[in-house]
Amino acid sequence: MLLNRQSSGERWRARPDGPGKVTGALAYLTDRTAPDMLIGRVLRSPHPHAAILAIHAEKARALPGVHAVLTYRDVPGLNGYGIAVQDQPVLCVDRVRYVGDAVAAVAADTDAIADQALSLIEVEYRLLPIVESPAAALADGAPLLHGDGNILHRTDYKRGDVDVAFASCTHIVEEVYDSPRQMHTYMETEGGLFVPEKDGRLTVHSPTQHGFMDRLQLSRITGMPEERIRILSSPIGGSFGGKDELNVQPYGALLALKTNRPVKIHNSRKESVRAGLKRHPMVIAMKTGIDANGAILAHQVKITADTGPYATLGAEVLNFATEHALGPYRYGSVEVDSVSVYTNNGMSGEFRGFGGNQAIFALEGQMDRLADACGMDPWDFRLRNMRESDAPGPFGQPIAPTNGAKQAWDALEASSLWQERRQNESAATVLRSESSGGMKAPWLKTGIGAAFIMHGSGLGVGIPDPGGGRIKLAPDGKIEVQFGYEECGQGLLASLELMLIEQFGFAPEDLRLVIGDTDVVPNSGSTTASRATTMMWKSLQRLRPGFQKELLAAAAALLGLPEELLRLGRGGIWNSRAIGENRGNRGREADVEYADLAAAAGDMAGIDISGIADTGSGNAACKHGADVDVTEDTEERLLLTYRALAGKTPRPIVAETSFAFPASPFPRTGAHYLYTFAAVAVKAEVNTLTGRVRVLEQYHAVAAGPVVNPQGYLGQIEGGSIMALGYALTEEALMQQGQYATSNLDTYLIPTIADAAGEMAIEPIEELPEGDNYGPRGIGEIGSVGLAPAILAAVHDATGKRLNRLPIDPLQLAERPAFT
Amino acid sequence: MSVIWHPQDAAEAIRLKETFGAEGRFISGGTWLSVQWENGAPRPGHLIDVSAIPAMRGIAVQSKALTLGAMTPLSVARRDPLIGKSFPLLREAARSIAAPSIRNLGTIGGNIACKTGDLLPALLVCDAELNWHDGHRLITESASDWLNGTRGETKPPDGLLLQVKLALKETPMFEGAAERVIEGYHKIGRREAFTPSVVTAAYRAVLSPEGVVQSIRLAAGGGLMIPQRLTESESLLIGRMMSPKLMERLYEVILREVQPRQDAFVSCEYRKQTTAAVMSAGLWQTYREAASA
Repeated sequence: MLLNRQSSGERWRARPDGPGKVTGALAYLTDRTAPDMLIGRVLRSPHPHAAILAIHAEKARALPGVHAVLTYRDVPGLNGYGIAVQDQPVLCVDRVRYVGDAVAAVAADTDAIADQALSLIEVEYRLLPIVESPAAALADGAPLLHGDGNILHRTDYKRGDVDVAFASCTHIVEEVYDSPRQMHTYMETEGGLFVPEKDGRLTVHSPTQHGFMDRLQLSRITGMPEERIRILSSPIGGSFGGKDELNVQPYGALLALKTNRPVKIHNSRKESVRAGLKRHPMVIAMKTGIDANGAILAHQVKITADTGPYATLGAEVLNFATEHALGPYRYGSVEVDSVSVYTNNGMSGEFRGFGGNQAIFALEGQMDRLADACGMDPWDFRLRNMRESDAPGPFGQPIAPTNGAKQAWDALEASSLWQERRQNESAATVLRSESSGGMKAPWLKTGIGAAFIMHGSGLGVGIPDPGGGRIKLAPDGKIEVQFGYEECGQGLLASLELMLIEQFGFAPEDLRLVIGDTDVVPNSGSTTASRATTMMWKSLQRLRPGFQKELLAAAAALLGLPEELLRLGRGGIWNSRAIGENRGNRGREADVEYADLAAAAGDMAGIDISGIADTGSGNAACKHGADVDVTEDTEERLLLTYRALAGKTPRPIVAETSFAFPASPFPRTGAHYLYTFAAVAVKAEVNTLTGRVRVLEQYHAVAAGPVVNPQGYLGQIEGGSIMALGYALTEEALMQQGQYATSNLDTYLIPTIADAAGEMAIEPIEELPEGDNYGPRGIGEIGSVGLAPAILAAVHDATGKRLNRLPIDPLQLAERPAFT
Repeated sequence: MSVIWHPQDAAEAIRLKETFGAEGRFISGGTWLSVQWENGAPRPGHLIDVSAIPAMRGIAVQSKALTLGAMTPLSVARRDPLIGKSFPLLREAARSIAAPSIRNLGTIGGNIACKTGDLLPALLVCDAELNWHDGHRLITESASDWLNGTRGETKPPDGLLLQVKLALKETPMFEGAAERVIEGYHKIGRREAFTPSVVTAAYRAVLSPEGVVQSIRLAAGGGLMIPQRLTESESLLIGRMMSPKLMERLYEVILREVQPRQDAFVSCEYRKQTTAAVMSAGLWQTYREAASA
């Protein structure tokens, strides 16, 4: 069944952070200010590659209104950051390696003074040759960007002997796939407010996908113990991986500590473009061979990634791309060689899809070309080579048994869009171009294409991947739920709220959802890798029995009733009469305070429960001594509010859990255990006069287990798909000589609503194998992966042209018109 | 920081401009200028806000011409019923520019004065005339002559554009009588909306009932290119009967004649090819549709 508002019924709810966001009332962290706040700014290198000979900051320091000018000499701790490898200087010492490299930081009374101060800092540079591409970086005699050379990471995977296997192939397809540098383009650019507290602690209000990682990194840089730093990290105005790594936090923190004043930094869009992460541009060469029956005998892959000047998670992205270049297919022999290369281009790093987008664009291109080669239908060809449900993962690693691949394949096969293509194929091709009427512009050609996606979630083998959370009855009677995950617009709070309503029976107003504060939340890992919803679901599953039992036991003791007759519900503890048929919150409600009950009832056992519900709101006037057996009462009633329970319970009721994301017992770093599968079909129209492509219709089947939150699910797949639309058609952060040619959103073009028009049908496949208790799989990334290769397939269906580069170059599709 | 001046009439505005020379700049909506500044262009010391000048405001019909004040917002050009009825290409051009908030601020005058605005190809095929004030008197010149005259110049015009004048065609006495008009406007960007133009093409032909081209205007622009009339291509068509063969030749001539400018994102080759394709195919398709109607 398609997922939409109608099919979601009562599960379609206004998200808790929705009204604030649509009205603009909600303040993001970068909206925050503090009294006596200074403005922080960063001086960045104008050169992609240069030696620093000297930095003269005296004039800037002397400017009235300037409170601090920091250079590398002012970094008290480690002058480096990076989640995996700390090779990115906080403030450059003797060399700059890209145009975002920071050389100095300033705190001043106003933005204008800070700006002027930056212009007064004189940096003497000696220009060095620019390493513009991985090819240049790998060439003999290339300038070395780091002490140990220009290679950040190499990885490979080999099974069988591809050379031998190629010798027995009937068809071999060789292609090189080029993918662009894509920008996250979150609405909220990087920034934050950095406040030195009276007790010497530092409070950081700055968006990040992993507060505890920022705390660790800032502790290294400032030399302060981690516990002395508090990170407030939600809500986030979009991240998509781009705010996973530190950005402005080191400068804000150091300036605040130096001046002992609150400091605010907020990147302009141009500075965000210049300094921020992008998706790795990759060149992926694939050679794949099949036998006469269409079975893949050999698959050889060479991946070259442009990782820019510093590491961040470039190595992990490459590992992910390596795994996903294999995908859900069976091969005779396989060989993958991957390398991630330092250059003087912009920083590449974490981005929704994490290397899978590039790999699957290439892999699915191969599948279509191989189907062409052997004359098979492309979708049938994929099934011919599809993994079995109990097959190991791409690296041969044990994975959670899953039939997701076949389920997604079947769903797309049955979709009306794919059936339309099947019918088009069986009919004469002439029919199609004339189907919209005689005067349809002859230069518009439509086609339908599809792509398949297998996407790992979690961080993978060998990388700490903790999960967990805490739930408690707070003294004020709120059910307080604490998680270390972040709300970056994806709907995490809405999903959490709905899970608490559905799994526990709470009402929204009973809840206080606490995230994004390292002083309060448990360290339950990062909000990355499509893992947060799975981890929250699992945490609640683990927390529920104990927490529920404790609440009910405490209530039972207070009420003098057996636990079995009680249940959790809206507002408090209810009698459980209709529990089976009416799990929700539809019973009669009464605002009852335990204190009133106690005053009214001399003997707890003698409370007339039926009287409680009649009292309306406010005071509960309870009858004495009726001694009614509540089990005979046919109506659900609220017996005890959470507030009353909290006020009377002798000890805090709290439950906590921590565990690790499920990982494969396999000695290969990054190999995954849980996968989500998806299939995408798209109808596209090519205007052959202009070479421009428009997407008319999309269908997405996603096999990810139960839908936790319908709106969030749709939002992730639709939003991801629009991101992929940009990746396919318009988005490229173009660099020339190490400088961004696309320095702002007037040249870096993300899709508008006019581009994203057209129907989008989303079909979740919720069924999991029997006994699977890993819960809902991640869907945060998978929507952003498949559309680009599906568009290329549709373009081929429309025009007969196979393209190998993203974004699509309209020149390749433009044709001389025919005048008839 | 710029000083902002608010002259109350054209003569005062021109005097201010003469006083400040290159340091003074006329500004109306400011949408185009702010993009230039954001991209590193120097901010002038003096901004001369022309929004209060009465002659630059309003839309008037007088002596068989439609006169648009240069301060007319693009959003008005987009929805004004008279413009829509009499000059649909102009409406279409206004529709394709930027986004709603920018169209509310941005003006017809600004779009023209920046020399690369998307209105220009439409104005060229409508034979628009521009009324300027040079400080002493009013000057009227065709949009085509003005663009030709300023070709190659990068400095902004010294005079002040007051109005755009468009001749209203007389309504034919009888429906379906005599000549047929076929026209079109195409803007091709790098995305579907809110996009800088890569290619802008406009055409307007008057055909005899037999399909002979009696008058023709072809204009192209896009990107950094100063929009141009394609006069050689026009000459090819004039007096000839519409036919597939003629369109084949038109495609070739446009390809040769149009002089686009490339940037980091789109090649000249693409721009030439696309201009030739949308113009020739658009003309032909519109002609066929009109013929079958």
